[in-house]
Amino acid sequence: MKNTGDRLKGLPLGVKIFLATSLLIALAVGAAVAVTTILVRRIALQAIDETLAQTSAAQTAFQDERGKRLLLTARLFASDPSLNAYVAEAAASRDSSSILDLLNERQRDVGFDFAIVLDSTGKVLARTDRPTGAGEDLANRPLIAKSITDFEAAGVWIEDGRLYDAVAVPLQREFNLLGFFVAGFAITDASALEVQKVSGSEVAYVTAGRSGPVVVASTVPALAPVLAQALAASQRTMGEVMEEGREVNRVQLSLRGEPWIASVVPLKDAGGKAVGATVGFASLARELTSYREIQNALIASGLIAAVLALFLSFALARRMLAPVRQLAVAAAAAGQGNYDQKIDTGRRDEVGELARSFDRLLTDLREKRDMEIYVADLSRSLPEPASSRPVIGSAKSRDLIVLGLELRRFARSDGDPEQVLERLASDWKRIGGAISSRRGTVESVSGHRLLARFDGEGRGPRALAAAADILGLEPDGSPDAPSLALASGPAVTGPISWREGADNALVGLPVQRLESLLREAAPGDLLLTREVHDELAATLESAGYRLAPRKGLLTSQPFYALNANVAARVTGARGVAMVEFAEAAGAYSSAVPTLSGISPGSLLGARFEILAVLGAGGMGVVYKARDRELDDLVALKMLKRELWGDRTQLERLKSEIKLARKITHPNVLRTHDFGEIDGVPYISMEFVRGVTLRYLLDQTQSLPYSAGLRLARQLCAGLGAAHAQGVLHRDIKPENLIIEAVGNAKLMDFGIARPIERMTPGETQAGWVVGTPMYMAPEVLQGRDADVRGDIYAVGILLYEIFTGKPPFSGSTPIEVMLKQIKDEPPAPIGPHGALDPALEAAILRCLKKDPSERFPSVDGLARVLEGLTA
Amino acid sequence: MTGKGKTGPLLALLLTWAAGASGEDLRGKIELLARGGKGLAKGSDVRQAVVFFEPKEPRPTRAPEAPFTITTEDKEFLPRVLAIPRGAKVRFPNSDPILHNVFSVSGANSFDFGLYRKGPGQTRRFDAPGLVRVFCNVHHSMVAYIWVLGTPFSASPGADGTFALSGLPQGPGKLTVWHEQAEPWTIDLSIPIPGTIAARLEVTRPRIPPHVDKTGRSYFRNSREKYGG
Repeated sequence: MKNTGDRLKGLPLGVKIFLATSLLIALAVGAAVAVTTILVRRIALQAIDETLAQTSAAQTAFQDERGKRLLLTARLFASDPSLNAYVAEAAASRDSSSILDLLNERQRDVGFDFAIVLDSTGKVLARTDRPTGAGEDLANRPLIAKSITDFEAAGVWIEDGRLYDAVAVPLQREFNLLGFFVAGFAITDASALEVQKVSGSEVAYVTAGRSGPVVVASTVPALAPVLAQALAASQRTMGEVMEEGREVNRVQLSLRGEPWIASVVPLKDAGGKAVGATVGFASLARELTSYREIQNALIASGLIAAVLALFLSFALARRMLAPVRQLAVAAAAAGQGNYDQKIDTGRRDEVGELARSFDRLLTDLREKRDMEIYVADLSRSLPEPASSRPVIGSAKSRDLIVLGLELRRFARSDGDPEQVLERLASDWKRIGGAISSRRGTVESVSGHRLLARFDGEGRGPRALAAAADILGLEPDGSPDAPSLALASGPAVTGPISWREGADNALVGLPVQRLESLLREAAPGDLLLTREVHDELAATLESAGYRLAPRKGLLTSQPFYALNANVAARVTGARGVAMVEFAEAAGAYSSAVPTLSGISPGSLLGARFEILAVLGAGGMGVVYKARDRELDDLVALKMLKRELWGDRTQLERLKSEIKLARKITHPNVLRTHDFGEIDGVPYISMEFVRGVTLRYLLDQTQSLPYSAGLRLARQLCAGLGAAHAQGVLHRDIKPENLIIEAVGNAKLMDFGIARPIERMTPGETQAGWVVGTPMYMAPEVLQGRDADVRGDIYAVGILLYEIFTGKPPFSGSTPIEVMLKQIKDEPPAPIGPHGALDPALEAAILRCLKKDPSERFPSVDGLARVLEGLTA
Repeated sequence: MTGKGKTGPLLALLLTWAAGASGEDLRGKIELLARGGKGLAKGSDVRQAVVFFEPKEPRPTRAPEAPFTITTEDKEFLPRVLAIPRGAKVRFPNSDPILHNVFSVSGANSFDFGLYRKGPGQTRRFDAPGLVRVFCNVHHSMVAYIWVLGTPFSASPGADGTFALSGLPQGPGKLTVWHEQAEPWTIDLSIPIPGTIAARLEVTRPRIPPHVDKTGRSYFRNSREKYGG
């Protein structure tokens, strides 16, 4: 049993359907056949019952009729006075021949089959059926006996094994009884035929002979002997009929092997005793024949239907299950890690829906896998803000600004060694944070010396800002201040391995120059090579500085020197990190944006342990911290100390949180809390370990296609969620998209986000543009109000950069970029493998339309297009 | 049916009379026509007809001493038709083994002899001229006709229907032709008449065919037939 059960379970679905269908059909046909068989038999029997009932009725009717006729005849005969007189005279002289002659004559006229004239005691005077029967005493015959008592009688007469309907009437003269006249009609085949005509069944008349029933007349003489035999076999029937005088119905007879149904009705004499019986019988087989035809037709059609259905179910199961099988195979492969199956998604039914969902799932898995592979690759080089040893995978030769730094204070190494090293570590932490917050990369740290590099857009101001920040860490004029130098030029970077493990190396002319500059630097000095100075010329000039080159004691090259103040002021004049337009006059004069005095290692309130500097924005710095209360890592955004007093800033911070908190979406960086600790306002946000899109773009020319698609979709999803909450981002750029190791992108830094509704035309103060020009829509650059389509424009630039590797508009100055944004059409995007998918290209270009009304009206439109693309 | 023996005595009688007086002859032919007058009647025996002439001045008749006889034999009256002078006697013997009844209800000649078995039977004298119908009250097929005539001139035709009357006085008179199946045919004529008289009688009381059953067989259980044809 177990085996069969298991085997059954393991059968393919197609076979199961097939078997089930077959079973159903078999059951249906079987049931139909069974039901019809039973019904048919019942109907046939009923029909026969009715026929036989009719036979019985007809028989009775005919008998009555004959009886009446006989009676009439007899009475007429008996009422003829001449006849009576004749009989009387003859009887008186025992002259039976005269009476016999008269009877015979009358028989000819009237047609009865026999006649008897009896005297008043019942003795025969003359009888036509036995000319010599005169003198016989018939007083005991029931008919005669009855007529002797009742003067008239009727009943069935049996004589010599033949049956007659007979009557007896008195012959009388005046009122005296002379005798009786008896006459009868024989019960013959003709009588049987008469009954049959009316009722439709076969009819036979039987008597109980000595050795069994005898058929004396019937409609089917050929069957007579067989019928007699069958009746004899049915002992009980004949017994019941003859002895008890009861009618027996539904007698089953077998005549020549065929089934017949009969009803046997007794024929009674005048005394009420059965002397014979009327047998009405009908062929069950014949009755059933016509119904059998129906039944056969039913079976035949059932079989045909069965065969057809079997074929059909087979074909259907096949057709239905083929795609299911395909899906099963694909699912199995996916389970093994193979997501590259092609799924047929053309069907319209539930199976098609399943296929489509499965396809989407596979696509998602594919992209995620690609992203994971990609990010896993790169995540090996995730910059740990606290660490200063990123190991980059490939050797590169590039043009860099290099920053050299010496911590002069450690020239003396007295004191507790542990404390010294601790101090060293914390100094490096802070300095490293300052460097990475300006997107610099610490190349090497050796003892009290540090080497960092800056490249990419705005490297000069950034390097300058980083230097200024570092200087700002120490109070002015301290003899323990570090000395810094900046140089620029071509260099080679990359990993080298000359001992266990890999090291980073940075070699080149600028490094040499640094060396010489640092010789010259005093504590708190920042020295610049001429090239760097020239690069920063615009920045310096706009700060109102005109530096004169100096000649050093040890170096022949001229250099320029800045002290902390100057440096700070310079960086304060224009923004850092790309080109940021600082806030209005207020910031210009009073604020010297340095770090708010919070540095890695410090404890904010009793709650937050500052672990590292993650970055800096126009409003403040972002730290990685540990929230002791929540016992979780968070990102803390603080306002710069200088801005604390500014109520508008604080209000902006608060409103930012209110907005940001509304947005909950896996692709939006979650905002946790707002507070003030030690009078310093902060926002705590979700800490995410990952790289910014900027970092990825810097590392590789362009992302792999599927990774890029995934990012794009997630960006749209997150932005869509923000827009749905009525919040604009307004500062979408690669720096604001962080990508976790698992490949999820989160949109962050809704730093200058504004609720869409609250924007009323003209509220943006004149001359105060918010955003990054590279990513700003033309209408926003021109001072008009931003809306969702401005965000979409920025997304367009981002997509362009993701899929081609560089932005559509670039220039050496921000103004140049702005002008191009406003006026120029973007060039056709070319990916690393040639032209992009036409749908993608069209979508990107649509985002970049100068006229906002031509762009996607909402992020959802763009999202839909991206959804339709396949990696 | 009508045996030769019946016509014999009749003819003899006529010849006797004719010898007594010389007279005129009258010849004629009787035809029995089928109903409607078209064609000869089938199954009708013309010999059963009676023809008599009554002169305007009646001639006397003489009744013989010996009675005539009508016997019941095989359930029939034989002779079936008898012409007798008025005042003659007829005896009715029964030669059958069964009881018979003889009666008549014909006016002045009515009589009923009741039931009597085989034997000489009874005799009756018939004085009133006219037709006497004789029956048996149980045997409905038995019938006899007795013409009691007031004229000596009568005859029965032969098988061909011809008849001859002789010794007729000259002068006017009435000729009557009678057959049981037709209406009596009479003609006034004056003797002598040349040629033959053609008497055409239409059979208005045809013989009823005997009962037969469905198969055409006669109902008669014994072999005897009542009427031929």
